[in-house]
Amino acid sequence: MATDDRIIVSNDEAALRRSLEFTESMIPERIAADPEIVENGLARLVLSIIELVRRLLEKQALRRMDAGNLSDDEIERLGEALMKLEEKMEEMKAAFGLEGDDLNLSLGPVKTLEGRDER
Amino acid sequence: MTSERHSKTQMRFALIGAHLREEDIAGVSGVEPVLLEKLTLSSIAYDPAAGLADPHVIATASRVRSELLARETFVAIRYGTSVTGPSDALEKCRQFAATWSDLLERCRGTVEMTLKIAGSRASLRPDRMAFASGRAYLEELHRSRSSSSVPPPFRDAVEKRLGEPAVRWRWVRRDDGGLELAFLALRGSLPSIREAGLELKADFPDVPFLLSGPWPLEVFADGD
Repeated sequence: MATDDRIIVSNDEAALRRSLEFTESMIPERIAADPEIVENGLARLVLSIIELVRRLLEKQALRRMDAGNLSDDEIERLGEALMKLEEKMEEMKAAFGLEGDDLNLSLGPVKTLEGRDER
Repeated sequence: MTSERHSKTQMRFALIGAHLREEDIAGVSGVEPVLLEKLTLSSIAYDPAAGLADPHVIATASRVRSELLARETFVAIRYGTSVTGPSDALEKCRQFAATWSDLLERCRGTVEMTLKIAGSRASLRPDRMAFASGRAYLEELHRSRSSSSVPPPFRDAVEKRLGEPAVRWRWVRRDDGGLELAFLALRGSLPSIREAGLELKADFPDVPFLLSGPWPLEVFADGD
């Protein structure tokens, strides 16, 4: 196999690009000295990280459901924990005036919190 | 990865892949080998002061990866995995050695391909307020994530046209309702895969998809 055997075939590239495009970084590059702005910027950063962990927990729970290795009791407890976690996140977002999109953490050129890998 | 060529205190090594045989990487410019039980790991040296984000390091990794893939099937190690030397590499990768070795034995001569199909809707989450039990909520969350907006005829056509050259395949759901098909194919079947992709493009002009490859083993490196 030669190194130039690369296959790339795509269709409806505009729609594909929209689907895969990266969002702008939501983390401020600098945090202004104004106390209120500092608080909001830090809150967005901290909540973005908590949201990342929450989504990872959710994905792991769904993966375990796919694998079929959760008992009824575990499904109930996991579901309840995810509901409460989501509720807490909503409360904290409201407290700092943040929307869901504010927490779509950009992870650099590879992916965003919402997205997947570059392949 | 030899101390004669690089001072361990000055250089780090970015791991590129795991290979079944030492000759699979021999002679590729810039590759530093390290033995891992029955396998050989490939790596490239870089200056930690420049870092893994240095364009030259990224370009070297890309070239080496491409040349290695042209040689033979290997398991890709995610870019950014770096080690200080052979003992560090062994420490980090020893736990995967048996799995990788078995995978490379079974998949030698194949490459990984991916077909990404974009979803047509945003991710829909169930409203947690509508559920009285955790079980009902989690089951609905699972159901909503299991559904796909990809047209069934397109999926059928994909399986029909790519199923033949594919040795193994695996559908993966995307959060946006889209799908990804990862499949292993024999190297000699790449022309027919390209042809199948062009047929899909002609027959389904409104379905946004991206067929790309060949890639080293990545999706299938996670096991079944």
